[in-house]
Amino acid sequence: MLEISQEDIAAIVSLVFTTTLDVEVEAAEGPPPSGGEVASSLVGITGNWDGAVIVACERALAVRFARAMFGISDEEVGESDINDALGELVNMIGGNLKSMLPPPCHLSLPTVVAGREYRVRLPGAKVVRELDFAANGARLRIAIAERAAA
Amino acid sequence: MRFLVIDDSRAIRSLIIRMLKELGHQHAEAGNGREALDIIANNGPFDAALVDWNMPVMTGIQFVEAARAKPELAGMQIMMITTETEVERIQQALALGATEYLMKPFTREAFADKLAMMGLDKAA
Repeated sequence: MLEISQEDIAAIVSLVFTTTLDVEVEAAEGPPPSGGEVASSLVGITGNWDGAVIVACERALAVRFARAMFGISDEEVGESDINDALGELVNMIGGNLKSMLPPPCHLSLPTVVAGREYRVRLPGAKVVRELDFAANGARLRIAIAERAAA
Repeated sequence: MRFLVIDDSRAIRSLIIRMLKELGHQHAEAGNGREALDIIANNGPFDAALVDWNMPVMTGIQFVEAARAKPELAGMQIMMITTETEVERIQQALALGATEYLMKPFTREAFADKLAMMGLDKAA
């Protein structure tokens, strides 16, 4: 059972965004608005704790993350830049979360999906933490899904 | 100084390279340990390799092992830059020949401090 608090997760998220992107995130109510394009990235954790970390944000925000990470303009940001930026963000959040889990745990390579009206589901897992943030006027959701012990 | 940045994340390579440029250093980049060894074979040793842990093809720890098996790379410092924080894994990397360790995420200041600590703060 996940013993990491919402506050600890929020602190990790804030640390990753401020140090890597120089972007301040604030707690907010509600997920990225439905209907718009949303980009999600996921990293799995296996070992003494089994689950995944999922980052979902509005595409406009993903573009800003990529711009900050690669030091390029909005117009120069391509799909591969967004994928790489979101993949690295979830990797860092997952890595820092992993450091608070009982060892040994292992981190998977990140996966990124984007589109409209889709849901990310992990078979056998349920979402145990869900945190919503606002950054640069757009929404960001961090979810932690835990797979039940066998 | 000449740095070899080894990370499968193009985003992280880009961040690190920007910091190295700001500090006046030269760089090359590789997406995994195998590619890094090929670059070293073609270009000679670097002053330091900045290495991620989890990478496809050849991981960071496999790169450390391979690099330390080559006497001509004995003078190349190796800093692990990764989210791995388990004490055993850090000890393993240091025991195999990694010089330093920096945890992601990191600030420009923390990065520059680590390089200075390793004597790698002299611009090219």
